[in-house]
Amino acid sequence: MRYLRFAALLPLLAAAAACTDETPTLSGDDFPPGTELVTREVIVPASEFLNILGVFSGYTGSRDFRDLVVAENYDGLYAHAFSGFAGFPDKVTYRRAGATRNDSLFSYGPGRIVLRLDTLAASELPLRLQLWELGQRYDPRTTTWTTAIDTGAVETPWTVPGGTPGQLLSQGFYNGAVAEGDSLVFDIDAEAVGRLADTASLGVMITGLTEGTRVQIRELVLRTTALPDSADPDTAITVNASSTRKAFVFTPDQPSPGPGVLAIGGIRSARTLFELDLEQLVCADPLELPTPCDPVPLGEVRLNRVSLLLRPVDTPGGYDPIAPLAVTARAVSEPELGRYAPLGNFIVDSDTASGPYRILQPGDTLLEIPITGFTDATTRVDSLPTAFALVSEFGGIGVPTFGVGFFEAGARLRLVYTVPVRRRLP
Amino acid sequence: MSRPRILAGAALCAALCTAFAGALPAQSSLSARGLGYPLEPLTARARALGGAEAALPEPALSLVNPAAVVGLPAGGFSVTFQSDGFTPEGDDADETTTTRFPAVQVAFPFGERAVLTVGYAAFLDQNWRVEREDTLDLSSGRTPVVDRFAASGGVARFRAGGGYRVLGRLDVGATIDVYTGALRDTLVRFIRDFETTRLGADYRWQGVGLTGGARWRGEAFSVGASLSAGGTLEVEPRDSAAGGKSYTLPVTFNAGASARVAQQLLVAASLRWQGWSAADGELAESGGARDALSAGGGIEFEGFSLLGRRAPLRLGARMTQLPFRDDAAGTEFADERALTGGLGLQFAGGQANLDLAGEIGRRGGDTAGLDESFWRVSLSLSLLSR
Repeated sequence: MRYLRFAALLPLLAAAAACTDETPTLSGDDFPPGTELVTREVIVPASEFLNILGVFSGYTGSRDFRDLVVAENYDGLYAHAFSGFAGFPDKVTYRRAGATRNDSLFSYGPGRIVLRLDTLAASELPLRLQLWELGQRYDPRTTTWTTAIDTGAVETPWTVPGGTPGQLLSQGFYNGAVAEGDSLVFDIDAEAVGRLADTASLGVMITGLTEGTRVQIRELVLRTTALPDSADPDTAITVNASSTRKAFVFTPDQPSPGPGVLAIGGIRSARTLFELDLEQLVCADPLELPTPCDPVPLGEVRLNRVSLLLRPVDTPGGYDPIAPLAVTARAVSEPELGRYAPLGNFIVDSDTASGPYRILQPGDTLLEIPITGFTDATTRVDSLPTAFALVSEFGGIGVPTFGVGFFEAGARLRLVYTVPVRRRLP
Repeated sequence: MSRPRILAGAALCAALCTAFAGALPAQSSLSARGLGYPLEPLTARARALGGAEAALPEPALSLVNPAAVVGLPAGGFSVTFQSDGFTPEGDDADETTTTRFPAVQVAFPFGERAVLTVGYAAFLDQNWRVEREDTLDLSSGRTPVVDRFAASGGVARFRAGGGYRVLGRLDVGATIDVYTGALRDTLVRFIRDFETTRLGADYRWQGVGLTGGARWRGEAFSVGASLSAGGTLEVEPRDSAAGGKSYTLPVTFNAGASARVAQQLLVAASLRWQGWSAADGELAESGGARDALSAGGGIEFEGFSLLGRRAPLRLGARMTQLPFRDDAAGTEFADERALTGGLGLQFAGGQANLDLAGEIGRRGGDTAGLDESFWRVSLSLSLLSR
């Protein structure tokens, strides 16, 4: 039995042997013959690899948009924003002589409606906005530039297209100075505050006064004070009324791209459907490119990058994206359904910073959409869909944009690939 | 220990060694030359004696001379572990260490004259890798690239046979050698911010050979020799994208002698010749091959004890010609030289032996394409079931 103890050492020695391996690493040019890798880059017209199946839009409207938009003849675009306010108290509580008191009889002091601006395009500063009492009831879910209420059973047009104004309550200014931050303030008198606090209030309308402006409003709040009748005259209770029944209307509608133009995003969520044509040949010569080259099917090379190169063009009608436009691509398994084709998985190569989205900043002249993994998979598995849609979705990364991205239809496809090699046996 | 028990132990050991055989670690950059770095199936005792294993006087488990097992009083097994390190000369000298199982063997005596043996030992180490940094000029700008080639695998030799006492002092043995192994080539190109290219190719090694040996044991002097020969070592890709290749297995001749020059002092020496030049033409594109000679010897002093047990002390030296040349122009074949030493410990009246050996040496030189110092530690455990 004594030597069984020695035998027990074997597993320990085996474990030790397995844990200390290091493989010697040479450096320099001692690669074995036949292992010289060649990576090629080709940029080809997308027409050779892609079929454009169509450009569709109309999937979303202002009710799907997080922000409010106000525009005043911004390249022909007009937009007005509506809001009501909620959160006014039925009674106020205050302390007097050390005792807590409630009073349902109170009046309001002057107030301020504070707008937090998001993005702004203006031909000149300061930006001037006007605050009106609305003169007509509206349905925030169905209102349009011409229609105040459209519930199906009832359709009530605006008396004045774009929103029937009541009394002009205030004008606000924003000159872009740092001290003002991103807020614009309307000062309103106590009487107006009292009317807006009334449950019968129709709300307010915000319009632009400065021509050539388009601004997005992230939030608005009404700040005022309540003055209890039973309190000392200098007793004022702060009241913050939040925005409710937010809506905006605009005219004209998002433009459709002309022939030879692709559209992505915007208030109508334009999308462009493509189909990849993977029956392509690429040069696979392992050494310098001869003329002519030795072509092989795309599936026989290793793809390092496949991306769509899109060149932005001007968007007409005041719908240019003035904020970063997040673009992505999603697989489409039933492209024959056209505008009704459901969207599948994201197919853009994931990036640590922006995930499956690529951001077009205002002023960018090129947008690269990498679809390497998708292309690689579809070259190897015949059953995978080869169609996809370029979209910019609400709820995605970044700020949803009211503006729509227009791009040259003559997109290009960038292919970076490495030719497989195998070492020659010694 | 009963025979079934020792068989179970041997089976476990063989399973372990098989599991690790596909991941034999590397031996210097020599693994990148020719068919790899040749590995000798020596026990730690033989390592300490400068590699002299062909003619040690007493019966022992040996993968060098199949006649050496004749006379084992009981079944037994032996396993040897080995750890290596090497430090290349130069500014970027980093030590690299590896560990492996060079050899495992089981023996089963039948009567007093015959012994059957089964053994498994590494034969060629093919683990190495190379890395290079470069740049690519792409439309998006100059882009850093790192290329990495890695070979992982090796060839092992499964040896089965036996030994027989034909005369009172003359033992002979013979084995059949089955060469087997796997090799995986991996080629990776990392391009910053791009998808990585990963290419792989798997190969399978196989071959068959024969070994015969003899040993004559005198009162104080023993001589022994063995001769291995085979056909070809075949390598075949596991896919059909490329063809395979054949390499002529070398004729290998081992000879040795040992003499007990004093009651507690043994002197041993050995010589090994491998006819790798037979594969020179087949390896011409990768630098070629030569016949490789190895010579070594040492002394063993048995008058030392440790912890109340016999603890033989050993010293030796060896010189080994390496058979494969780098394919770079102007590169010569490399040699290895080493000083060796070690210690043995006997337990249970010699039924269990633990041997430790160390080597320190240099290999290469100015014209060999490498110049490095190395060390090697070997540990053998052998058990008898008596």
